[in-house]
Amino acid sequence: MSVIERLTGDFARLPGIGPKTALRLVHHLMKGSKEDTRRLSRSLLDLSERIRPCDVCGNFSEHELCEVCSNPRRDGTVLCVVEEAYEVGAIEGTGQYRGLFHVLGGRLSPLDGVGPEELNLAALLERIRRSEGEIEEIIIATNASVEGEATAVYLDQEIRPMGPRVTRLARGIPVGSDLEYVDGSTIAQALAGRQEMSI
Amino acid sequence: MAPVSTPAVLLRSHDYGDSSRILRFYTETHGLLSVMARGVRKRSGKGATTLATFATGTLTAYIKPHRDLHTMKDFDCTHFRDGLGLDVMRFAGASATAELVLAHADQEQNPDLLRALEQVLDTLQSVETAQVPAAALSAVWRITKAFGFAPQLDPCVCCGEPLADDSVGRFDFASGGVRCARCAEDAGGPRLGPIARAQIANLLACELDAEFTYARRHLGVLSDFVAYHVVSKPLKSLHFLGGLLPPDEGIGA
Repeated sequence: MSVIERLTGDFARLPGIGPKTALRLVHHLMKGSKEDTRRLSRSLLDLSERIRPCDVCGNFSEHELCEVCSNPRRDGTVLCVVEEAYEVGAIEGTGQYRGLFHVLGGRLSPLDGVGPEELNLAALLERIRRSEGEIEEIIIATNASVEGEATAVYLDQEIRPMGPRVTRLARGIPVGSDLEYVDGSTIAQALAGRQEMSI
Repeated sequence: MAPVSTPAVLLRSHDYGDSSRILRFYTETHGLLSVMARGVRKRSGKGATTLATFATGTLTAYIKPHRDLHTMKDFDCTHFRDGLGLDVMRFAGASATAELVLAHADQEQNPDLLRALEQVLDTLQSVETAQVPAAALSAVWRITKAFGFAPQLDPCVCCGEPLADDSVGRFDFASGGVRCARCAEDAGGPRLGPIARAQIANLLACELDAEFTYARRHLGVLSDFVAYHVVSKPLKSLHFLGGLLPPDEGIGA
C-alpha cells in the first residue's frame, strides 16, 4: 500500500470524512509546504503523547488536572455534568459559569451497548461522596434528546439520595428565533419552564 | 426528482460532519430507510428539534433506487414520544424494540410492522410504572411476532398434542416453541409452566398482566428466542434492560 493510500485511509476513518474528502486532504498536504506538513505531524504526535483525561473530571488536559479543576478560583460547590469533553468549551464560552465540570464520556445508549458502567459515572459518584457535602448542586447538561433525557433521569436517581440539589439545563425558544417557526414540543417545554418577569 | 412523503418512525441517528445527521427511519412505504439530514444540528436547521428518537411523523425524502443512503427534505413530527426518555426502563424497552427493527427489517414495505411499532411505543410511554417491565418485554415479543416469528405455545412443538392445563414443559428454541412434559423429559431449555405460557401469550398480544412475574426469566427466553430465530446475536438493548428489571423472587414455573 502506498503512502498516499495509507494516509487517505487514515483520514477516511475520521468522523465526517469520506474517501473523496480524504483524498482531497492528502493532495492539499502534498501541494502545501513541507513545514506545514511537519507541523501538522508534530501536533498529531503531541496530541497522542501529551493529552490525557483529567484525573478528576475526565476533561482532556495536558496535565494531571485540567485548567478548570486546577483553578482555585472556580466555585467548587457546583458541578456541571456534560456528555462529551468538547461541550465544556460550549459552556465555558458563555462566560456565565464559574463552577466545575464532570465529563461522562457519552450517554446511555442501549443500542450501542453503552450502559452506566461504560460512562465515567462511578468517578462522579465517588467525587460527590468524597466532597462530604461541599458539592451542593449538580447541573445535568446532557443533550435535550431522548437519550440525553434518559441519561439525566438515571443520574438524578443516583445522585439525589447522596444529598446535592440536582438541576437540569432549561429548554426553550432559541435566542433570535421566530415563535412561528419553533416546533410544538419546544414551545410546550418553554411554556412549562416559563419565568416571572424581572427587571 | 420529486420527493416522496411517507409516515415514519425515527429509530436512530448518528452525527455526521459538523452539522448533519444520518437518520434511520422505519417507514410505511419504503420499510427501513436511511437518510442524510444536512444541517439539522445547527440551530437554524429545519425540523432540528423534532428529530427525536422514537418520534412519529411524515418523512419527505429524495429517494434514489439502488441506494442505501437517501436525502431528507423534511420531517414533520406529529407525535413526539419524549415520555420514553423520562424513565430509563421505558427507554430501554423502546431501544430494544428499535434495535430489533433495525437489525431485521429491510426496504420492503410492511405497514403492519409500522403499526405494531407505533402501538408498542405508545404503550411503553403510557403504561403505569408497575407495568413497564411487562410492556418492555411485550414490545419486543410483539415486533418479533410482526416479523412472523411468534413461538408456538400450544400444542407441543414435538408431538403436536395439546398441552394439559397443568403441564410443565420446556421451551425448545430450535423448534421454536414449547415441548409438553412428556417430550421435554430428556430435553434442555427453560422450564415453562401454564402461568408462564399464559404470560407469554399475553405479552405477544400486548395484554399487560397486572400479576406479571419473573420478568428476568421472561427476558432470558425472549432474548434467546430472538437471537436464535430473528437476529444472529443477542440484542444489546435487552442486556441493558436486564440490568434494570426487578430481581425474580423464588423459583416458579
